[in-house]
Amino acid sequence: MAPLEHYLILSAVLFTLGVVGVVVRRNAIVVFLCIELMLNGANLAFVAYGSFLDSLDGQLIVFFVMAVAAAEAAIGLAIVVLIYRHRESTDVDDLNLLKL
Amino acid sequence: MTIPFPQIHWAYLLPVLLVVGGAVFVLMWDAFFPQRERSFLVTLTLAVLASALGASLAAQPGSEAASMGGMYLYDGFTRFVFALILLSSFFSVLLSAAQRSLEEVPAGDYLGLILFATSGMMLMAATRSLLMVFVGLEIFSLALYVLAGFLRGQPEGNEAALKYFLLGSFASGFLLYGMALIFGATGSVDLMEIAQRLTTSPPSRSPAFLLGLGFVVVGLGFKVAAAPFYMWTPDVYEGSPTAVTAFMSVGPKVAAFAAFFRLLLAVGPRAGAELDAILWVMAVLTMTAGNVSAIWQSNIKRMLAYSSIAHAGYILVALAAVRRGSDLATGSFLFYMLVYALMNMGAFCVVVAAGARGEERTRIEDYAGLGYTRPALAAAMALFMVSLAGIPPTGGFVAKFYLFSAAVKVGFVWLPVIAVLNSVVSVSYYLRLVVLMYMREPGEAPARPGLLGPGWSYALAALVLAAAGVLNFGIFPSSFFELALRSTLLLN
Amino acid sequence: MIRYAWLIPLFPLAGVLINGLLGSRVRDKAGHVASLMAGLSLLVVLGIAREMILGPGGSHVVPVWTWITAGSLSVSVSFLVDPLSTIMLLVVAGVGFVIHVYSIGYMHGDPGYPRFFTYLNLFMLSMLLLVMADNYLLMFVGWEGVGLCSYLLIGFWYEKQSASDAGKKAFIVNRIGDAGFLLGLFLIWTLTGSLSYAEVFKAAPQLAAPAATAIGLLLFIGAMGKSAQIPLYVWLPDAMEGPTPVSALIHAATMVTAGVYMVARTSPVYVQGPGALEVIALVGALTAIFSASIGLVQNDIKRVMAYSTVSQLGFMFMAMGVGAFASGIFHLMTHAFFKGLLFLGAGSVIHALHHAPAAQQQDMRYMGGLRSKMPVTYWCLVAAALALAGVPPFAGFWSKDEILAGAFFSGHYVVWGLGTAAALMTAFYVFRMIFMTFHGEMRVDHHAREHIRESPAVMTVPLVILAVLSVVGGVLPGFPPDAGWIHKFLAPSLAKAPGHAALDEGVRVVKAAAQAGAQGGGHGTAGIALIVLAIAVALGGIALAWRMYLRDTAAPARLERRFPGLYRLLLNKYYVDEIYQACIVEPIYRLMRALFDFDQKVVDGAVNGSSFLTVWFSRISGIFDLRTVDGAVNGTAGVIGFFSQLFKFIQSGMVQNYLFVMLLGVFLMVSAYLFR
Repeated sequence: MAPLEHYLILSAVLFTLGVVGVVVRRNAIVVFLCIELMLNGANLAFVAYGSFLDSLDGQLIVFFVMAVAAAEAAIGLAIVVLIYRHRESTDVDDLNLLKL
Repeated sequence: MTIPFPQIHWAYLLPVLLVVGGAVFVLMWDAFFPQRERSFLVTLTLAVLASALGASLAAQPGSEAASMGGMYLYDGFTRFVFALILLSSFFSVLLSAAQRSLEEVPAGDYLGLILFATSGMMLMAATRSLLMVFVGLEIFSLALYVLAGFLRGQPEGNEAALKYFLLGSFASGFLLYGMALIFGATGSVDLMEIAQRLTTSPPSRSPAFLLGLGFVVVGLGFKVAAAPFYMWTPDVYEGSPTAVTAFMSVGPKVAAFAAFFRLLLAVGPRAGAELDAILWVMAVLTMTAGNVSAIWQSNIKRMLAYSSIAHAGYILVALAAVRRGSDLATGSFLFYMLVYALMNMGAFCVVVAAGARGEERTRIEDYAGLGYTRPALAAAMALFMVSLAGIPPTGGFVAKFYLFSAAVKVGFVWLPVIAVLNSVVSVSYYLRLVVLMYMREPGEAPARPGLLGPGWSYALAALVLAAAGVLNFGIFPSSFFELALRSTLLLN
Repeated sequence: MIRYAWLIPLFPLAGVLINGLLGSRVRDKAGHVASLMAGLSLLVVLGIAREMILGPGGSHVVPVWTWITAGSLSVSVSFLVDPLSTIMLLVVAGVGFVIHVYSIGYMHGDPGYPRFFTYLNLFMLSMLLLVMADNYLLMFVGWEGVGLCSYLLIGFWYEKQSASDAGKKAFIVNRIGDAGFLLGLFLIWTLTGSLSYAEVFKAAPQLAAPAATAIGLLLFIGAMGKSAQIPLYVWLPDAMEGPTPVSALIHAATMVTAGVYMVARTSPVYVQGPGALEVIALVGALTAIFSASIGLVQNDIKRVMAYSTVSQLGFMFMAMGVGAFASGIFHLMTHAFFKGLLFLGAGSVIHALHHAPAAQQQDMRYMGGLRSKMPVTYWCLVAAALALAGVPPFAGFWSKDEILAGAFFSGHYVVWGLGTAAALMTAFYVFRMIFMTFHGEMRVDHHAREHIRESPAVMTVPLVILAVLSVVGGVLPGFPPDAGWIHKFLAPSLAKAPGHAALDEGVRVVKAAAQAGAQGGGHGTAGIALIVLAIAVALGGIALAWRMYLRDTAAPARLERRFPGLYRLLLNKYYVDEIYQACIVEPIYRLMRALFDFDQKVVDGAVNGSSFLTVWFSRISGIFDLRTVDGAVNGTAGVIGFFSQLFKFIQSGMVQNYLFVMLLGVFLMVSAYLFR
C-alpha cells in the first residue's frame, strides 16, 4: 500500500487546483466545479487519514460531506440558472450591481 | 449481537426537534393548502419558535450534557445561544411579515427555509464535534443562499445569492480541509478528545495541525465576517430582502461565533501564541475596516452591514480574551451578542417599516426629516443608532464596557485601546443618520407609506420588543449579565 | 433633604420626556415647562446646599441602583453629595435656571422652540449627572451626554452651513478628548480595581508616580477637549454659532468647566503624579495668554467672549496645575456668574439689533452708543466686565488673585508671569468691548436704529440676578484670600498638593522657603504686594482701553499701521486653523495622492490585469478634490479618509477580487503559523 504521504499530496494537489481554479476562472459553473474539487480534496484527506489511523470516522465523515455537496450543487446550479435567465451570461465579472 | 441504542435526552433535543418539525410542517402545509391566509403560517412559525425557546429555557442543563457521543451537547452555553438564535429568528419572521415586498412570495417555502436555517444554527452551536459544526453550518448556509435570492425578479437579489454562494462555498472548502488536517493530526473530530490528545502527546506544533487550525479559522472567520474575509457582507446584505439581511446579520454570526468559541476553549490554551497574534490582527482589521468603510456609505443596508462587521471585530476582542482563559470574556461575549441582536434587529426593523410597497427606503438620504414625518419610528432608530454607537444609557454602551474591560482584565493593552478609538470613530456615521432624521427637512418621500400596510402590527411588535430590550440592558444590565456569566459554568 | 438628591436629575428628565414626546402639543408652553423643571431642580439643590453649608457637611452617597456588575467590578448609579459637588450643583442648577428663563424671551417665536428646550433640559440632566456621579463611569455618562447636547445645540440652526460645520468640529474634537478620558478610565480600573471615587482615592496613595501621571494625562486629554485647552480649543470659538443662551450656559458657565471639575475631583490621584500637574499648569497658562491675545483684536462681540472663556478656563487649569484646587473651583464659580452674564448681555444687545443687517448684528464696529438705549444691559455688563477684569471688590478679583498668588508661591514663576500678562490683556479686551459697544457715537445701521430698545423683563431680570452675583459672589465666599469660607468648605473634597516644592527638589528648593514664609491666612507682605500688582494690572488694562477707544480713537488704527504683521497674526488667530490644515490635512492628502499614483503604476495588472484601477483612481481623486478640507480638525477626517479609500479599493464588487483578497488573507495567516 502506498504510504500516507502520497494520498495527502494528491489531496493537497486537488485542493490547490480547486483554489486556483476558483480564483482564476470567470465562468460561474467552472468556479463552482472548482469548489467541488476543493471538497473532494478534503474528502480524500479524510479517507486517507481514517484508513491510516484505523478509524471509521474518516469514511463516515465523507458520506456527510458528499450529501452536503449534493445539496450544494442543487442550490448552486439553481442560482446560476436564475442569473443566466436575467443576463444571458454566467460570467462572474458581470456581477457588478453591488459594490463599494 | 445487539447494537446498543445511543442514549438520547429528549428534553435537551426538544428545541431542535420542534424547529425541524415546524419547518417540515410549514412547508407541507403550504403545499397542501396553498390558499390559506399567509398570517396563519406566520403565526404558526412564531409559535414554533416561541415553543422552542420555551423548551430550551425549560431544559435545565444537567450533568449529562452530552448525548450521541458528543455530537449534541446541551450545556448552559448552548442554552443561552439557543435563546439568542431563536430570538433572532423570531425577529426576522416578524420583519418578514412586515416587509411589503415579501407579501407575494410563497409563505410556506420562505418560512420553512427560515426554520431550517434556524435548526442548522442551533446544531452548529450545540456540538462538540467538528463534523456537526460543518453540517450545521452547511444547513443554514444553504438555506440562506436561497433566502438571499428569494425575490427572484430582482437582479440585485440574484447577484447577492450567487456571490454569497460562491464565496461561502469557497470558505466552506477551507473549513472542511482544515478539519481533515486536524483529524489527521489528532485522530479525532471531537473537540474534547482533540484537547486531550493535545495535552497528552503534544502534536500541537505539527504543521498539519496548525495549518488545519488556520483553515478552520478562515472558514469560521468568513461566516462571522471577519477581515480579510468580510467582503461578501456588504454586497450580500444590500442585495438580499431586508428581513433576510436582518436574519443574516445576527443568527449565523451567533452560531459561528459559538462554534469558534468552543474551538478556542478546547484548543486555544494549547495552540500557542500565533493564534493570539492572528486573533489580534483579525480583530483590529475587522473593526477598523468596518467602521471606516461605514462612514462613506450612502445605502443604509450597506452601512448596517459595515457596522455589523465592526461589531464582529469587537466580539473578536472577546474571543482573543477567551483564548487567554477568562470567564468574564465568555460572559461579556454572550451579553454582547444579546444586545447586538436586539439593536441590529431593531435598526433593520426601522428600515423595513420605513419602506413602501415595491420600494424600499434604502438610501440614507431617504431618512432626512423622518423625525418630522414619523416621529416614533425616528425615535426608535435614534435609540438603536445611539446604542450601536455605544453611548450610554443604552445596552450598547454596557455591552461594550463589559467586553473591553474583559480584554483589559486578561492583560491586553493595545487591543482595547484600538477598540475604544474605533468606537469613537463609529459614532460619526451612526449619529449622521440621527442628525439627518432630525436636522433636515423631509425630502420628497411619500408622507405616510409602509406602516399602514397589513404587516404593521408585526413591525410594531418587533420595534417595541427591541427598544425595550436595548433600554433595559442599558439601565438594568446586571441580572442578565449574571445569567450570561452563569451560562459559562458548565462548559467543558 | 440629601436623601432626595435623586430628584435633582429626575426633574429635567421629566422635562425632556414632556417636551420631547409632546413637543407639538406643548408648543409655546415648552419654555415654561422646561424652566419649571429646572426651577424644581434648583429648589432641591438649594435645600441640599442649605443642609450641607449650615450642617456638618461631610460626604454622602445616595444609592439608586446597582448598574453594572462584572466579576469584582461593581458600578452603581448613585449620587455623591459633598462640598465639591454642592458648589457645582449650585452653579449648574442656579445659572441653568436663570438661563432657562432668559431663553423664554430670547428664543420666542423660533420654529424650533420645543426642540430647543428639550435639548436644554437634556443638557441639564447630563450635566447634573456628571456633577453628582459617585463614580467615573457615571460621570462618563454625563460627559457623553453634555457633549451630545452641545453638538445638537451648536448646530441648532442647522440651515446655516457655518452652524452645522461648527457642530461637526466641536463633535470631532470632543471625541478625541473622550477617547482619552475613556482610556484613562480603563487605566484607573486596571490599576485600582474600581471606578468609584471613594475606592479609587483610597487606593490612590499606593499608586506609583508614573502610573498616576499616566492616568492624569489621559484624563487631562479628555479635559482638554471638553474645556477647550491648547491644542483642542479650536472648536469653542466656532461654537458661538449656536443660540446665545446656549453659549452662555454650555460654552461659558457649565459644560466647558466639566474638565476643571473632573481634575479637581481626581485631585487625590493627581497629587500622586506631579508630572501631569506640571503639564496642566503649563497648558493652562499658555492657553490663558494665547487666547487672551487673540481676544484683543476680534470684532465679533461673541468671539471676544469665546476667546475670553478659553483664556479663563486656562486660568482654572493653571490653578489645578499649581495645586490650588480650591481656588480653581472658586474661579469656576465666579466665572460662571460673570461670563454667563457677559453672554446674556451680549445676547440682549444682539436681540436689540435684530433689525440690522445680519453681518452687523454681532460686529462691534457697527455698534457704539447703546448706553442710553439699554441702560439695564449696560450696567449689568459693566459689573461683569469689572468682575472679569479683576477689579476689587467684584467677584473675579478674588478668585483670579488667588490663582496667581498660588502660582507664585508654589514657585511656578513662569506660569505666574504668563497669567499676569494674560490678566492685563483680559482687562483691556473686555473694556474695549464695553467702550466699542456702549460708548462713543452710534454706528448702527440707520434703519435698525429706531428698533433698538431694552430687552423685556424676562431677559433683564436674569441679567440683574447674575449682576448681583458678579458683585458679591466673590467677596462673600472668598474673603480673606486663601482662607475664605469656600476654602474651608471645599477642603474635605480636595487633596492637598503635598508641599509642592518637594516634587522637584533640585530646581525648586527656593520656593519651599517662600511657601514656609507664607503660612497662615494670606501670604504676608509678598501676598499684599501681589494683590496691589493685580489691581494695578486690572486698572492699567482698563485705562489703556479707555485711552485707545474713547479718548484717542485713532490710536488703534495707528498701532495697526505700526505693527501690521502682529495685528494680522492676532486677527487671524495665529493662523492655527491654517497651520492645522497645512501640517495635518495637506500631508495626508499628498500621501494619499502618492499612494494611489503608486497603485496606478505598479499594482495595476497584478490583480487581474483589468483596467478597473484606472477608473478607480480617477474616481478616488475626484472624491479627494470634492473633499477639500478647510478646518483644522478635518485632519482626523483625513486620516479616516485615507483608510476609506483603501477599503473602498478592496470593495470593488468583483467576486474574483474578493476571492483573491481572501486567499491573500489565508496565505498571510498560514505563513504567520508556519514561519513565525
